[in-house]
Amino acid sequence: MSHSITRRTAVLGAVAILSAGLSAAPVLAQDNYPSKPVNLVVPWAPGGSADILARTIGDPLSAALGQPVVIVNQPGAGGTTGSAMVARSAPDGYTLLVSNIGSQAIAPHVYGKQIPYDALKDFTPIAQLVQQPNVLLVGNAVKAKTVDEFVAWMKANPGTPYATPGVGNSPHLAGEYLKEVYGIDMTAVPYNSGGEVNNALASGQIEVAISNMPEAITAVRNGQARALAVSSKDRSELMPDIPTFTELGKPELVVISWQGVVGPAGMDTAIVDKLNAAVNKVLSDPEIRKRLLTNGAEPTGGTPADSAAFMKDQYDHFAKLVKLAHLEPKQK
Amino acid sequence: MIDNLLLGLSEAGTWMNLGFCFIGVMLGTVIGILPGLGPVATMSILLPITFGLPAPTALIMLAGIYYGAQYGGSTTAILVNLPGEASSVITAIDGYKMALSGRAGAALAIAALGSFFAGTVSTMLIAALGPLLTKLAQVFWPTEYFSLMVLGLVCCTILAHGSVIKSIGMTFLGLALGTVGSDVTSGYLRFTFGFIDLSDGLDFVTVATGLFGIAEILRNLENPERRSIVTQRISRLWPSKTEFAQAWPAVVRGTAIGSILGTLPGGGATLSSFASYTLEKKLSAHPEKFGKGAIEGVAGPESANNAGAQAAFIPLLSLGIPSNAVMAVMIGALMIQGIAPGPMVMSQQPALFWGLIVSMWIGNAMLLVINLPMVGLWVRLLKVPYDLLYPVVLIFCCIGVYTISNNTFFIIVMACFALGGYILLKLECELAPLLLSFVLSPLIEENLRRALLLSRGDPMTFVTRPISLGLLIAAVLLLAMVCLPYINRTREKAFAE
Repeated sequence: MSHSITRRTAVLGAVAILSAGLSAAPVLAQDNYPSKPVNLVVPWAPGGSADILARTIGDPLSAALGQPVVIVNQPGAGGTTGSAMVARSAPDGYTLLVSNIGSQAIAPHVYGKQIPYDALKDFTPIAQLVQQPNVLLVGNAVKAKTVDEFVAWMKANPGTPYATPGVGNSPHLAGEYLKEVYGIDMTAVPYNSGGEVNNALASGQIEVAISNMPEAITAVRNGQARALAVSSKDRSELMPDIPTFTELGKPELVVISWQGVVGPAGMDTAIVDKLNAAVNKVLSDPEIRKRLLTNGAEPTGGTPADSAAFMKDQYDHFAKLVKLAHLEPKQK
Repeated sequence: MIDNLLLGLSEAGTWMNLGFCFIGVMLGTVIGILPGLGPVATMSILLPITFGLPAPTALIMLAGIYYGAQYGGSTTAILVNLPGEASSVITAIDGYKMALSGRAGAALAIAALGSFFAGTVSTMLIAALGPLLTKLAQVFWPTEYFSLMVLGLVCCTILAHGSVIKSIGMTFLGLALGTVGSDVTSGYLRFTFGFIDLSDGLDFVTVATGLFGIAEILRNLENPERRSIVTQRISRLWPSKTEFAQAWPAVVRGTAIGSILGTLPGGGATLSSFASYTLEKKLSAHPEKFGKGAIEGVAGPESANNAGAQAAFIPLLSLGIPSNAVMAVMIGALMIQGIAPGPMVMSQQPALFWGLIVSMWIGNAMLLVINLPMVGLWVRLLKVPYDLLYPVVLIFCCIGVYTISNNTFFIIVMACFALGGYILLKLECELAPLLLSFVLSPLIEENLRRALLLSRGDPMTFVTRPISLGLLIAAVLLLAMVCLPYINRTREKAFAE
């Protein structure tokens, strides 16, 4: 692992020296990086989970880097407008993106060629930030107390509606995959947000839901619904008593949401390492961890290589899930 | 109830909260008056600042921006026919006509007074019935929402004062425009013509600015004698006694409608202003005056809108369901503070909940004090030569539309709608039904499909559930009331020939 990074550094270094010779300015950009404010692009409107995440880590990240980190909201087209903007930016480390499952792993498969970037090739992975598992929720009136009982109930009642906080997002795809893995038949009913899903469960209009952790934990804490299982590989810190599907003998059923930091393709390794170290430092701060967990997000972190491998894996995983949910592009 | 209000007063009445409330309403008024510039952008710029503030203070300031902007938005709707939000579309219908006939001062003053009255009453109502009103959201399932929205759609067609056929046509055009973007249940892109930028649908401000504001500028420029907006002399800045007498029952009814509809999560507040307009037009002894500068047409909807905006904080705080983009930013502000919106907010954070409610009443009082003396100034703005005024309005429209998503694409979309709006004006088609059915369209579709998915495809769900049935019957009766005179008239014509 480190071997390949060293070699990449060497190659890039050679290129840098070459270009420095040509431009007659011998100071390498990465030595005094960052020398001006860093823009962190959030490809969603203010107030959403990615925005809250960016604003939670923004200030401590400024402190770690010694330069202001400016949060730039660039919403539009399901997160792809902002992602495309970063993909087109100069890879100088001053324009970064809050990468996320939607614009990096799902939208490319749903919208195909209409997406103006390649989710894997046009970005330099820096670090993963957080993940949010999906949660299988049932209303309080439901008798099933375990996933086995739930599956038996669904087998007896095929076509039962289940609520999702929208179409083509991680919870929805988790629900469609759950159907496939357990061989059960349910009908997805998309609501507009996790808050609406919670209200639907509490009012009794629907008995089953797959929701993302931030809203699911609210529903459970408020007694609006019960959690049966979480879709992460390991148990969630936020719901330590709730089993994972992996524990229940379905290790393939891992479908989560996540956010990370990426830059445009072709960033200098030294700058990537500097940014990665800063991000990991911020995520290890107990105060920041606590704030992230309060909002239902589990800090992840790790090396740039971890992030690259993770995003590749997610890209392939969701290609399969998008097909399963019949969301692949109809038009060319 | 009294305890709750006192608790709220002690929270909202601290110097710091009063100060931030004032900052909020001031900022809101200013951005509301600048055409096109919306509260969403302002609130999101200020969001990081709220990090360092206590939760109630942060929310009090953000809420101040919201209703301050709504207030300012009514001002531009009345003065230059530029609605910033769905609610001010209604205000523009009669408010702008009042301004054209030299009664801008009366329209602005009655809007301010009506809003303040509505704010006062709905604060009381929320305090008295708040916990009970939360239950209302539980009774309203997608089935009931669909039927409610159908009723709203029928109200759309009543808004028009010209041809019923044309207004029904406009209503359907609005419905079609509302379907642009990703399909709610399958995620497929509809009517985006290969523009990925349209996948989130058309934004209200973009459509409204183009259709209303810029199309109106085009029309004004076309005939040189109308270059000055106000052709008649401005008679009075204050409403006359007769106008007060006409307006106050409308204010009371508007307040009642807004307080009830506002508590329905996700879109209830949107309906309140035009439900009120419909009601006033139906109850009026002179329905023909509506659309030509009827003061009830400003007083009722403005009160309903303000009461609705205030009541909308109940589903926001107690259920975490935002009714618009502004409310979504509010949820973000709460989450940053570590407070998850939910049924427990009212009991676990009573100071926050009641502080916010009472602060809205205080903020409305501040708005009244700030704005009433300004009425004279705003009216004088109309005397600015039109050749100087319209380029400024155009520039602000472009800036406003650009800031919605920092994308020049939507300025082009706005230009297309301006052209479309101009053609429709020439064809004497009214734009208000179009704009309102555009707002309702996604809500109707979502709830229809959700209701049918929940009933496993059985359409009888709409008539077997009693509230839904009641709403549908009301819609049918209302539609019959609109169409019958029209049918009679054509029959009379037929007999005459």
